[in-house]
Amino acid sequence: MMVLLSFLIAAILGFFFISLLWPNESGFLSEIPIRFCLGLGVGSGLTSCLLFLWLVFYGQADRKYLLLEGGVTAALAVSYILKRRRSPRSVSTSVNHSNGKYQWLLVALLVLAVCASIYAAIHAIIQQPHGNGWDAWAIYGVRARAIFRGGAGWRDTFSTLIPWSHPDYPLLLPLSTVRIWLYAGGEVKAVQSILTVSYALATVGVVTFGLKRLRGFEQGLIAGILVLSLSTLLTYAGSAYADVPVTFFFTATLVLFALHHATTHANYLVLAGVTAGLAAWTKNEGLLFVAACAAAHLVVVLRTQGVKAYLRQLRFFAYGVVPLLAIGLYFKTQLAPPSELVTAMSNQSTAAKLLDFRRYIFIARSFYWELIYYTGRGINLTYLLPLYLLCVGVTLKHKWTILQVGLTLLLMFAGYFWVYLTTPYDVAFHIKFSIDRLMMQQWPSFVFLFFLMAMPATDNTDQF
Amino acid sequence: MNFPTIGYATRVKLGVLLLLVLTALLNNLFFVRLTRSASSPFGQDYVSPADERFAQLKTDLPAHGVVGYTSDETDVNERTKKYYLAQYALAPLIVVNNTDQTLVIGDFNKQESAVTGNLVLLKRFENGVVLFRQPEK
Repeated sequence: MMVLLSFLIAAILGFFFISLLWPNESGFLSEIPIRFCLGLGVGSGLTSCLLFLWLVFYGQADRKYLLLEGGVTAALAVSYILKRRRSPRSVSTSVNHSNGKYQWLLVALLVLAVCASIYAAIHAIIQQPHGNGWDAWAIYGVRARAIFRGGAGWRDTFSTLIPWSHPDYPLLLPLSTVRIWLYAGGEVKAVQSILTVSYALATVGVVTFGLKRLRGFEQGLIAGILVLSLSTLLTYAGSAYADVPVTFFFTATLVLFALHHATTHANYLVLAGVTAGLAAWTKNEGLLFVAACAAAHLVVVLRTQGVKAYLRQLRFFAYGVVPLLAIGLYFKTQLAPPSELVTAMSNQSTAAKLLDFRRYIFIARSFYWELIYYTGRGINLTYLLPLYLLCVGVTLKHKWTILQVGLTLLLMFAGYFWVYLTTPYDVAFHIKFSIDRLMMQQWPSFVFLFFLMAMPATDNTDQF
Repeated sequence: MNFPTIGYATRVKLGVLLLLVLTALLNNLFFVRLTRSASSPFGQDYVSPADERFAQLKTDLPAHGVVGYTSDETDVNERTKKYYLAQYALAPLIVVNNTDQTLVIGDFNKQESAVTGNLVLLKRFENGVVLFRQPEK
């Protein structure tokens, strides 16, 4: 019961936080689903930051923290209600390309996919309540336990005495687990897995309702079904891996950037900054993502609006991202030891790796194999997507958003390539245990990009 | 009764949409079926039994600090896994994979293996878990 309450409070906090910054240009009721889905992930992320600040200033995780969280939630709720009273009601600007005849069918299919995924997740959680695989319990789980059980000695968990425990990994997932245990009054198994499953479902929601706003509900529904079709997403969600929350934050950021392009409302940039910052607070890849987002946005805005507009927009993005990066920076510089990926590197060996052409071929081939041969379970949809695009056609209505999202994905892959190229570990080993997760992290964003480009298949115009 | 005519292009588009959506759904349902089968990607829970093995030992260990670890496991991968499972079970204690600490945890498959160099046996628990200390100098 208390576990449920902890999820509810994080979701409410996130919902009011998102709603406070959500531009008032669209209908209140029509925007609730996307705000709820964003709030689900953002609420959990922000409460983990709040708990981190509590740990730093108060010194240990105990139930007094819950008062702080309750207070923040109440303050956000009151602020939102006051905002609603002051601002005039407006009409929804949501795009409606819908052909109602097929919509109910797609809704039913998405609901079926969601129910099936929840069913699979329940099975996964029963089979592996501590999470499936090394990262789940030996990295994130052990950190949550050490912080929860450690009292004033919670900092001991960042010791370098335990090899391969990656004490430099950001704390969103362990601290989200700890706060739920604080509500429950003790350690509850499977909490970490429930968290990652909720992030996976929220990702589907963000893609579906983000596209509903930009391209119509049917495009969103098809995209939602496609996001859930990737078995690695479901596997890692049920396995309690932090790759799933980071996938959520990547997707949410790109959807919020797209909403900014469509409406030019600066608050979407603030929210995009928050979700990008939370990505950096989830996994180290998040830092690469923040840089990729800023760079892709620079290219698009310079091309369309010039330097002044870019600097203005960057300021809004910074309002969201900087406070979270500051928390991350404090963690990295004051608590965590340097990353093993950095300390094990030497200038000489890195130079040798960069000059080794076979390494480039090997990494490129690994990405190609993962894309074409697909190591996940089930059918590879990569082959069907071009066929789909060929039949329904392409629209460039959102060309600048398409450019930005596409460029961000490319920069992310370039970053992953660089990490593999310079890794101090055996590159084959490093790729073997991470490439499917890296591909998964980009999958919902790719689906979002795809349906921004694809014409609606249920379009009434009878022409190719 | 007259049915509305659907043009060729619309039929092709709907066909490819159906192909995509149903394939995606098939993937999803296949995965659900897989999780219920013997070849489930989630396997068996090996963490909970390890947690239970170390539960009794916890009462004899300090709340914080560093303890050593030794095992008679010969398989390198299995030994590594057992070491990390001990770390997970005993957090926030830091378990170091050597016998140089004042207290050392023995994690043995066979009871007769529970003799390790100069270490002094402090307590023997069930399931091959043993607590040692360094000899007094």
